[in-house]
Amino acid sequence: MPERVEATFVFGSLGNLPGALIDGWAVEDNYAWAIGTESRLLLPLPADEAEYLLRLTVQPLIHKGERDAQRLAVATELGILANFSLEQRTTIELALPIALTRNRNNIALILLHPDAMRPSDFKQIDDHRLLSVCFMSGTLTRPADNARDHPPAAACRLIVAGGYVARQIAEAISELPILRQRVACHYVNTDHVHEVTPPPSEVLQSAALCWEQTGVNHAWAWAGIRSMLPPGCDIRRFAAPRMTVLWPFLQADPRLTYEAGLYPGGRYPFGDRIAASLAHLQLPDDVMQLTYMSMAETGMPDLDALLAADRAAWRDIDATHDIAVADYIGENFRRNRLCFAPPYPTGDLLGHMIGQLLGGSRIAALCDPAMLRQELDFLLTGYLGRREELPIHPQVAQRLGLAWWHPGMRYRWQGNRWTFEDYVLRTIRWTPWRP
Amino acid sequence: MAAVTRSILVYANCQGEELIRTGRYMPSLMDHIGFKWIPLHQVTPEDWDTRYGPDFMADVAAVWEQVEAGPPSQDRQELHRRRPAGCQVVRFPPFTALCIWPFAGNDPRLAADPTRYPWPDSIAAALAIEDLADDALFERYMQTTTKRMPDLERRLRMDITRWEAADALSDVHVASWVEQNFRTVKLFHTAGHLTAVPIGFMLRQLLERTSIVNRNEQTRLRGEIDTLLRGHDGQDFESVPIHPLVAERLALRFYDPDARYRWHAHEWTLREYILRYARWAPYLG
Repeated sequence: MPERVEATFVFGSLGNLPGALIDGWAVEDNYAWAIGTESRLLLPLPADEAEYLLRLTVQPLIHKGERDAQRLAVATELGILANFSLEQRTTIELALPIALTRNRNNIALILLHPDAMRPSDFKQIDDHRLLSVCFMSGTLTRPADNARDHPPAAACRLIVAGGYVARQIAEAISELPILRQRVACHYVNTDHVHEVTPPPSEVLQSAALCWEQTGVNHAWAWAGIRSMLPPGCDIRRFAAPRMTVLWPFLQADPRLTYEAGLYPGGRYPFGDRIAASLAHLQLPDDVMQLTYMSMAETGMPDLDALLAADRAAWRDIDATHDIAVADYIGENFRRNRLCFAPPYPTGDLLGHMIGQLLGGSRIAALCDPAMLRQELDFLLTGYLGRREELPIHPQVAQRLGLAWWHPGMRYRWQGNRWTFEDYVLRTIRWTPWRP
Repeated sequence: MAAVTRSILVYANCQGEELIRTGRYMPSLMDHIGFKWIPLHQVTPEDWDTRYGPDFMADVAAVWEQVEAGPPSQDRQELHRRRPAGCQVVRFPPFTALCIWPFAGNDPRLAADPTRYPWPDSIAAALAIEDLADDALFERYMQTTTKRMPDLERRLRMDITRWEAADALSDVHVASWVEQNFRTVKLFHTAGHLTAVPIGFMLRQLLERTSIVNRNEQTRLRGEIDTLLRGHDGQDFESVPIHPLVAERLALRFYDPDARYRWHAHEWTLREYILRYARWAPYLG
């Protein structure tokens, strides 16, 4: 039966039951031992009409071969509620009698534990307490109020098809609490290098929406899968906008090969033409870095022209797809970081794209749009994506006036965090790195 | 790539995985020595039957065995039975630090959902059902934690006792190194997950004591470890934020009040983490 948590209990001096442990307890920071043969617990209640289920996570004191289980009986003034034989850490459940909970502020539980032991009897430690069961935490739950706790079952099926960005979008939609019972989201990886695994046919045939990423090399199977969507399915096309102006020296490096078992995506997959041109030189680190910076300054392309080309590409996306990105990127890329690497959006840009896809859709009509936006922003806070951040040349950042950039900035590269200078040196030398 | 003929077997918790992941990327070892790992915290009887048989053990020339308190577990006894006769064993301790996260206690939500936020915070757990706005919730958390902050010096002494006890069982000793360094350099992301600094320290110590590793190579190997781990974040996939009062009381000089801590595909401040933890909020992986 669906239920709602009414209270959480944490035992121990750092927990929230300071006045509830009446008799028979040894309280430690993060838990409380029931000691002797009987303990009393005065558990707080909400004083209403609901029926309550109490769950307690407990750990028995066991000494293998001599005491393989601890017996625990839970009683109230009405008699024994339940008996347990505890062999390991477990969560016990107790349906509290309504006669003792209705409109009451608390319930007195008597815990009977006849198998207590002294740790000093079987271990070389100075603990002579008679310990039985360690109480750790618990919850008090009540049957859920359907209207409040359980919106109608998934009313809308959404297919998100495409590559990496489509997967990010699908993951975000699937994690939004407000959509959990309302939208069933299915991701289909259509990238040509993968075998396409279609969703079950009943999902496809009943999909209300399909968000299709273009610009990925769709596997041939996708066309067949797409044709199974029902006639009324609202298909929206989107593309992952690329930003190239931030990385003007991008060029595939001739040293880039498939290194089985080490770098499935390539050692330095984005490449840097200046770094590649310096690869044959044997120079000390500082001289190598100076040489790179000097060559980059001399060979710096016209950033205004690159930006104009990017803007034209974004406008092209706007004209041919169902979401608009050009104005948003153009107006915000200096103020906020929008791309980690040319094809990888940050949480900011991803949030904009998802907002655009949701706008005016059947999903938006299923819930409060303001709440939906709030949850989306909350979910995408501090989003790191796949942790492949391509470092930005300081001169590029300065010339473009990137407000979010700062000298000495560190960029995540999977498990690493490098400065631009670290990255350049490693790329020149094709240095192995650890994921 | 030449065929690797000898392997080092690491029997350890997840810290062992960090050792082998680093070792496998060291150019000087790549073609000569393989690394294998048996996760002592996850190994099952079925694993012993299906994965760790004679073929697995055949090329093992050295075992790096992480010690544990208490009598040898059945799995450890199984390892001892199976390791090849004559292979070198180097024992090393686990790194742990309980004192840095003093509210790591219990959370009842873990019983039903053990992986969402697996590092429990007793105070935030107790606030879970409070219907408070963000600012009020975080303020309540800070007030409660400040009021109930335990004696951290005592907690630190308990940690040191544990470190020394593990050292006593080991060939590699870390207690004094951790005690000397934990205030100046961040060593831990959680009570048992490490930054790259202790991973590098341990790997160097183990390689120096391993006879199949050429002694004349040690300087080069140290350089390779430094190159691989300089700028590496270690086991940061779940990095639990440090409370400012803990940093103050333990005099953690590396502490940055504005630090952002990685949590899977996110990076959050202490406030952002506590709000999400208390609400058991979903996140992206």
